[in-house]
Amino acid sequence: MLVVTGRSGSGKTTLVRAVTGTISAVGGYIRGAVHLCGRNIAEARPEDIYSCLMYIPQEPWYAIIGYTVHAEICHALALDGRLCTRADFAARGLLHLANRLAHTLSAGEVQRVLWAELSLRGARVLVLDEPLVYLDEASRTSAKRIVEAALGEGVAVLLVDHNPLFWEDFEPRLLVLEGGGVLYYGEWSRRVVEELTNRAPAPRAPRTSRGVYAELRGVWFKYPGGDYVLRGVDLVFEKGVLTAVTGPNGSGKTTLLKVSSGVLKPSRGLVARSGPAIYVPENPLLYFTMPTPREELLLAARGDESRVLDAAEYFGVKRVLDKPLARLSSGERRRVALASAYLYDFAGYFVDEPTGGLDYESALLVLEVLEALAESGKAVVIATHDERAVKRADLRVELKT
Amino acid sequence: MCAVGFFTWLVNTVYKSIFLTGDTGLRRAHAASKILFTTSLVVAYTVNPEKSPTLLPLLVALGVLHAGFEWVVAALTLVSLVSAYLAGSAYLLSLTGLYTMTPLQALLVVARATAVAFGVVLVFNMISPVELYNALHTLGAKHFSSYPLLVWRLMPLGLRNFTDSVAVGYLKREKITSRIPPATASIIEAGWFIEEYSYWRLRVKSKTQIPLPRSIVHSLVLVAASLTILLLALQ
Repeated sequence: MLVVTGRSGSGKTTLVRAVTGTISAVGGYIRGAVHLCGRNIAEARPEDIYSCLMYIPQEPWYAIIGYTVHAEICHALALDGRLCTRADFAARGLLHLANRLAHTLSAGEVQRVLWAELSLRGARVLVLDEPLVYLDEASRTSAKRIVEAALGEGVAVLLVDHNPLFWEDFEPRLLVLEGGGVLYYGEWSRRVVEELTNRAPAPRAPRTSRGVYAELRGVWFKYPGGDYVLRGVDLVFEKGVLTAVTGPNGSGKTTLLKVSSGVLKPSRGLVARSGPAIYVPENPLLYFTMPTPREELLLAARGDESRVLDAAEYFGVKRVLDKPLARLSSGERRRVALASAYLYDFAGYFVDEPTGGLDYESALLVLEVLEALAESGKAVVIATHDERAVKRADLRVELKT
Repeated sequence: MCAVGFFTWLVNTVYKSIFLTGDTGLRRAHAASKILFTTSLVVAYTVNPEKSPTLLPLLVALGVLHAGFEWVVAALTLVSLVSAYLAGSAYLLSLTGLYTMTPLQALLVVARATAVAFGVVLVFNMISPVELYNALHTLGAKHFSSYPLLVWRLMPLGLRNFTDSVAVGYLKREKITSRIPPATASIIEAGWFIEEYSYWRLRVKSKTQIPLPRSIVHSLVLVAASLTILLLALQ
C-alpha cells in the first residue's frame, strides 16, 4: 500500500492519471512507461487494464455510468463477465438503494456505491483518489475493512489522501509530493506526516450570534419521484457564527443548504432570510460563470483588479489565475469558488463540504476565511463530514436519516 | 426571477417527463409486450387518426400505473405545450388566408397531437436502458452496449447540473442569458469527466447480460391495453 499526500495542486491527481493511463483523456502524456499487472498500459488491451484496475476518482459522481445503482453495479460486474445477484447488494447494505436513480444519490452515497463495486470486482490494483471525503464515520470504517481485506489478498493499493494518518494502522509506504516533485518517498513515517500538519490553527476567537439570518419553519422537501428528504424542519441560522451541518450519508445535508440558500424551494413550509445568500456546491464547477479564475473573480469584484489580486493572494490561487477552471485541481477550484463568493459580499454563505479533499494547509486556510466571514457578521453554514471543520464551528446541526 | 423560474420549471418538466423513474413500473414488462403495445399504438394512430384522442384516458391510466400522478402531470404538461404550439401556429397561419381553419379544428389538432405525443412519451418511458444494453450485447455490438446506460446517466445528470447552475447564477444576481452558457458548459464538462473516469470501462466489450427483474402483471396489463387499443382503432 502506498499513501500519497501533499498540498493541493502538488500533482497527486496527475500522478493518479499517469498510473491509471487516463492522462491522455485530459490532453496530457507521459514519458517512460507504466506497468499494471505486468503489462505496459500503453500497449495492453483495455480488457486487461479493466480487469486489473479499480479506480475511485476524487469527484465520485462522475465515475458512475449506470443510471441506477442496480445498473451501475451490475454493469461493472458484467464487464468482468459476472452476473450480479441480489445477495451482492444485500451483503454491501445497498438493497434499499438498488432502484435509486444515480443522479439522485448524495456524494456520500455515490462513494459508498463505488466502494461496494470495489469490494465485488476483485481487481488486483486499487487506485483511490480521496475516497473518503464524503463518507460518514460508519462508511469510513467499512472502507478501511475493505482495504484491509484487499491487502490480505495481495492487492496493491495506491491511495491519495489529505489525511494519511487514517491509514497508519497498515503502515503503508508514504509518498509526499510538492510542486510536481517528490518531497518524501519511503517507509511510513508519522514524523513526516506531522511535519505537513505542523502549523497550529489560529486560536479560535469567541463568536456570538448577532441575530437571526435565516429561519426555516416547518420545511418539507422532496425531489421529483422521491421520498421526502426534509420533514418538518424548524431551524434558525444565525449571523456572526459558523454553523456546521452534519449527519450520515443521505440525511439531507446538501438539500438543507440548497433550500436554506434559495437554490431549491421547499415543498411545504417557509424559509425567511434577512439578506442575499450564496450556495457553493460540493462540485464547484456548478458555481462558476466564467472560464478562468481571473475572469470569475473580476466578475465578482465588479472589475476591480486590485481586489481580485488581494483575494487571489488570500485564497492561495494567484498562480492559477489564468488556467481554465476545468483544469484546476479539486482543491484549487474550491478555493476559487470561495474567493468569488467572498468578493460578492453576501449576507449568508452556505458552503457544501468546504474542506472536501483539501490538504491540511488549504483546509486551514479555507476554515480561517469562513471564520473571518462569520466574525464580520455574516451567517456561515457548512455541510461537512470533516472533523477539522466541525471543531472550528460554533454551532452544530445534526441531521438524522 | 420570472425568467429563471420559468426556465427552471421547463427543464424540470422535461426531466420529470423523461427521467423520473428507474427500472420500475412498465419498464419491467416483457419486451414482447412492449413491442405489441407500440405496434398497436402505431396501427391506431395511422389507421384511425381521428379516434386518437379517445385513447388518451387509457394512456393516462397506464402512465399512472407506470410512474404515478407526478409523472402524468409532467408528461401531459410537456405534450400540451407542444400541441398548443402546433395548433396555435397553424391557426395563426390560417388567418393569413393561405387555408381555412376554424377554432374547433384547432382544438382537434390539440387533442390529437396531445394523444399522439403522450403515447410517444409513454413508450419512451417504457424502454429500459438495461434492455437496450442486453439487446446490443446479444446482437454482437458489445463495444457499444454501454452507450444506452451512459445516455440515461448523462442526460438527467446534465439537466440536474443545469438547473443547479442556473439557480446558483440567480443567487449571484446574474441574468438568465448570461447563465445559460456556463450551465450548458457544465453538461459538457460532466461528459468529459465521465469519459476520463470511466476511460477503460467505456473501452471494454460487454461479457454478459445484465439481469433485469420482470413483472408478469405489467406484461399482462400491456397486452390487455394493446388489444383494447386495436379494438378501439379498428371499430
